[in-house]
Amino acid sequence: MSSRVKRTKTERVVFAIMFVILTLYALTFFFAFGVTLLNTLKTPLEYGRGNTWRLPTNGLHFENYLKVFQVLVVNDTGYFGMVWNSLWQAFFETIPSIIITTVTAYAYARYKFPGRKVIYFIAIVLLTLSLPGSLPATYKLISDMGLRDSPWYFISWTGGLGTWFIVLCGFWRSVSWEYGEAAFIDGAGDWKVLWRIMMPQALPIMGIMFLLGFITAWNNANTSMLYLPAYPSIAFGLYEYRAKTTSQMMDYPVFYAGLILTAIPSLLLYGFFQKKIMMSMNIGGLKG
Amino acid sequence: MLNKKHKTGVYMENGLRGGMAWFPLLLIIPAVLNFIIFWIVPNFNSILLSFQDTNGDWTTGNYTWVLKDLFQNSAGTFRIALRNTLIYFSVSYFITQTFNVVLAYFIYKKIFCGPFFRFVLYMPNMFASIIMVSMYMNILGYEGPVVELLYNWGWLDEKISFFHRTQYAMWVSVGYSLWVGVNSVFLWSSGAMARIPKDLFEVASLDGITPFKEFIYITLPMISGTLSTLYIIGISGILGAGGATLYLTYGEYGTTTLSFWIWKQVYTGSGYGTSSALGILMTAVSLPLVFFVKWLSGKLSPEVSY
Repeated sequence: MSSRVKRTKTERVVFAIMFVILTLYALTFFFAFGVTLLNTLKTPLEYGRGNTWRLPTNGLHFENYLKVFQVLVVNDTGYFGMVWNSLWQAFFETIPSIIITTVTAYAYARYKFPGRKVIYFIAIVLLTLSLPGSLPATYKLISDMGLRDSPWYFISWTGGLGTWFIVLCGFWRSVSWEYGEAAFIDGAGDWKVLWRIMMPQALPIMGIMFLLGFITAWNNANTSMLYLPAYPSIAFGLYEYRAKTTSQMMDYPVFYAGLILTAIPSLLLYGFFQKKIMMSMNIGGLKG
Repeated sequence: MLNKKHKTGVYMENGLRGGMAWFPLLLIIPAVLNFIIFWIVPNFNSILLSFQDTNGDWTTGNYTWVLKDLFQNSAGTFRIALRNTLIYFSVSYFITQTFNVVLAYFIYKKIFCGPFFRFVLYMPNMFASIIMVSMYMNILGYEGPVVELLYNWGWLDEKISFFHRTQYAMWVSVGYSLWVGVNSVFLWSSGAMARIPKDLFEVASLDGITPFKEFIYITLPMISGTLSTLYIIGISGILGAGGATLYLTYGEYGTTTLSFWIWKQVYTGSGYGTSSALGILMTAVSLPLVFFVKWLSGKLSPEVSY
């Protein structure tokens, strides 16, 4: 296919209209981000007097970025503490779940065993049945099990049969079984075939799962809010600071600086791995 | 591919390895245990909790309270929450989801600056809700540019905060959902479009097909499997729909939704009985809808293989 696409007159008009719409849409994000960036450089007084979106008039106050580390304290945890909490929570949220989902999908896609079809049925039920009403019972269960405010809480996150299970089933079916068969013929056992031959082939997709899972976990405020308030994540910390501070006492420029600092890791990961993220849903396909 | 018997010591059946059931069973144990403990048990407990009062005594009062508030009190919390939930659902299901598919199509068809739009428009998914909400509230807030513009043009008598007025709060909240509306549906649709054989479009273009007809008669049918799944998943969330209510308004000013109300009960420790009863009722309504849409999608979009 040539790099330059030839279009009819009607097509050109339709594409031009869509281009204008998308450009305006994209500009709203740049505007909002730019305004936030400008607000990080103002004094609380200037912001409080109503300059919430224009250029700073009292100089540029880069020190607001340093103040983030003094001002943003939630549940006796400072900004660095919250960043650390977000990091370990992101790892515990993602790594066990990825491994368990990958091997569960492998078992389903490559082995014949009793109850095999039930496993897929459960995954479909989990995918299509959203039950917000179970939150109170889940919360009670977590509390009763002593998992609330404990790092062991992440046992509940191991999952294994969610959306990624469906995607990974498609992936494992697409991976050639010939190397595995050859290894079996050479006398390798099932464990050896799984860990030495099949799992290395899944590393790229596991990497994408980790990337998306990490970004989601980094941005997750709800876990800390409900289940781990003693270990506030950075997303929860920012919410809590805004929610619990009166508007008179709130240092908005510092708060916005905190937002920008928190957005940087996600932005960098997104910038570097954009293609992989965009291709993530192209791996196994999703069909009813 | 090896067939059924042990020809070379490897037992295969229809491309699946058989004969050693303990190995796959060992692999699936963690997932099954997790499903039982953290899905079956809470959902079963939900039913029990919904029939208990705050002292743990059995009652049907939770259901009576929810249903009375829903059907007999026009200004009741649940009536407002249901209305808002359905507004969020309609916007997400019919507008946002459709826009995502259309956007995926234009980017797939190489619109000018397509990769740039894809990068920028999907970007909000990479940030915490508190970040995007704070940016949005700053733009639409009391001293923000939108209010100032409307005030200067004479469309507002005084400067106001849209988020703190009952008549506007819900609509600016819905506006936020639309603003950050490019989501995983876009990725799934893009992935499905990328798998369509290119020959189809080439043959169609030789026949002089218009872009609109190409979208309707080639693209949509070819991705119908993915689309029907997305719409089934979408309908399952009908009564759980809600935007960033927590961050935007904390459910004040007439913006609460059913799922946010349940969340708030848990967060504030206000008792589990009523929220569980509401959850059970929500499931009882949405479950038949899921099956109906699944049946309907099967009728409307027969499986396409390619």
